[in-house]
Amino acid sequence: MTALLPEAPIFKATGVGCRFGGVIALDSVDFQVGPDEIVGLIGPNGSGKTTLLNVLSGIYRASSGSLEIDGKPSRFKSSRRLSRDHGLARTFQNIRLCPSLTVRDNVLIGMHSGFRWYDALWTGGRGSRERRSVERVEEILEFVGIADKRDEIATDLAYGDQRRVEIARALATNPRLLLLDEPAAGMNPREARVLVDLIKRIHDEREIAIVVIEHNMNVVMNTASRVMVLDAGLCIAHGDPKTVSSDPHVLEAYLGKRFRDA
Amino acid sequence: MLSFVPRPVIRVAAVALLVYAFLLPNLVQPYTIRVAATILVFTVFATGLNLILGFTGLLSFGHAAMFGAGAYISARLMLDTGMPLALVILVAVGGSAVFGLLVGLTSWRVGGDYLALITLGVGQIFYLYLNNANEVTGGATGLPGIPAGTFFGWDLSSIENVYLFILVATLVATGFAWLIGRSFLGRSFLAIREDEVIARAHGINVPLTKVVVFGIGSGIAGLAGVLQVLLLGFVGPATFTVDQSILVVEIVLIGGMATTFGPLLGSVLVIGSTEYLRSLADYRSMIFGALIVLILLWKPGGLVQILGIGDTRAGRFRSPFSLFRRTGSRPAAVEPVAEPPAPRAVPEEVRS
Repeated sequence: MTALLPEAPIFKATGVGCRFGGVIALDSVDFQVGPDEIVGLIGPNGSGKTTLLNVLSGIYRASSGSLEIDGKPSRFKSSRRLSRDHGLARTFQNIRLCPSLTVRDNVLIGMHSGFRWYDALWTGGRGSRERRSVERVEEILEFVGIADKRDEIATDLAYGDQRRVEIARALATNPRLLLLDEPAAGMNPREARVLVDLIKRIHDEREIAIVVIEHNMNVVMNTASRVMVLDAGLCIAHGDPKTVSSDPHVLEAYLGKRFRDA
Repeated sequence: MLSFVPRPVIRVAAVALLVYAFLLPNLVQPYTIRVAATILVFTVFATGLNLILGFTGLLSFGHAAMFGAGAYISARLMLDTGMPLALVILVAVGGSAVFGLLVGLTSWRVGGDYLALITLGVGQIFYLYLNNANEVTGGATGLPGIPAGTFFGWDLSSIENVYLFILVATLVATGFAWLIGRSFLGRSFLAIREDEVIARAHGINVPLTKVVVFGIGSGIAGLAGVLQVLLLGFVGPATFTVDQSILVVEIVLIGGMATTFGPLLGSVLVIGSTEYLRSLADYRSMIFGALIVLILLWKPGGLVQILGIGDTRAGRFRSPFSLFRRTGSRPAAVEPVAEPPAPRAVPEEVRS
């Protein structure tokens, strides 16, 4: 199992726990992502997957354990600094787009880290950096395949397209590590296949490490090079997709004791 | 409503209106000029609030305090020093911007309805200060007899010239807000309004941006204060009550949040009707109250959206007017839960 772990992880979490009052959402989890990996994160509902992602991306504070990004402690870093300084981007389980803005504006929001607030005072939206950003947004929209919908209001799009806008917005931050929280939720099998391709292309062409939470096993098995299974805030299995999917603990967590040895 | 009118026609009409606005002093009575100037002053005032309320979704119910800060600072400077008007404007705008920054600091700790209460409190405190600090503000009588200024040789003693000066200032303020609105800064305001978690997760400095928008919005309101002083030649506390703060919120909401010309349209309707429909004064609040409810429910882009004469990024009912919104994370979308399989019907004969 240890042989699978990356040599020089971008992100390293050791014994991370997160509790809300008496609820232990994460008990103690070790987690690492290397620069050229796609890590799948699976587990039953309520097992702590999204909490782990929220802790990694600085939206929740870990109650215990240590977090390192690029070898520096990151437990108390804000999500803004993780995004701006360390290239960490994410999407959300329940699509969170800015509902009244166009697709292009939504993606442009991902490019804010390069701007200082006073830039606008003398360039008024016409500065060379802004123009370059708009060009880059075009390229990203092209890449995820929604360039023709750039001027539509984001929430008017179909569900699968909204997911892609979210991914585009995350890509706009120029990340090195992308956290995807159930990107295939609500997609039909065809859309899910397109998504698998997109995830692979993001990884291969843009050289971005990816952590993907997913219930759709097709997506996980076809993308992840390494899978980690959480249950009740603990890691119960870890390894390559094949091994994990036949692990008795995993079967038990998903299907109940009865199926464990079936 | 005007969406059937071709764009070029609207452009031509807008230019014609602008020309008319510049020729107005030669065409109408001084009273009408005065009303038009008041409308423009409130346009500038509302433009400042629009950045805070319309773009960033921060409820400020004490904006008359920033308006007043600009007015009193400029009045004091004009009375006590021989500063050139350009410098007076700079100091007054800067002063009210700093005041706004300080008030904006509270947005680090509170949001939504609580921020509304704090700004309301600031507005009230400021009004009481104006009313009672006799040595500085002249107390309830205010500061009368403020000399007319000259702006780089432009004599502002006649109402016509003051009107033209205010018109130019309005264009500058509106243009400034327009530039900000379409820049990255404006987009970060909108992002904060729509979803703070998203803004933070994409590298936007949310606390700093909130303070900045308070500073800019207050600076613009301070400019409106200076214009008010130039127009009236007098400042008194009665112009800076909480009622005035509510009035400007009305203007922003009716005109259209997060739009460029919303403040102007709102100001024309609200201030214009107050001046010309005095017989209906008793019903004013009722009519505008109902109008605001309707606008918030169906047309958050206000008059701009109703008339269909410009882009609206006013958002939907949920987000722009956060009185009705929880701050912090949004409730999770209801995920479909698979129904448990229905117990299979057991045939009668088997059961027996």
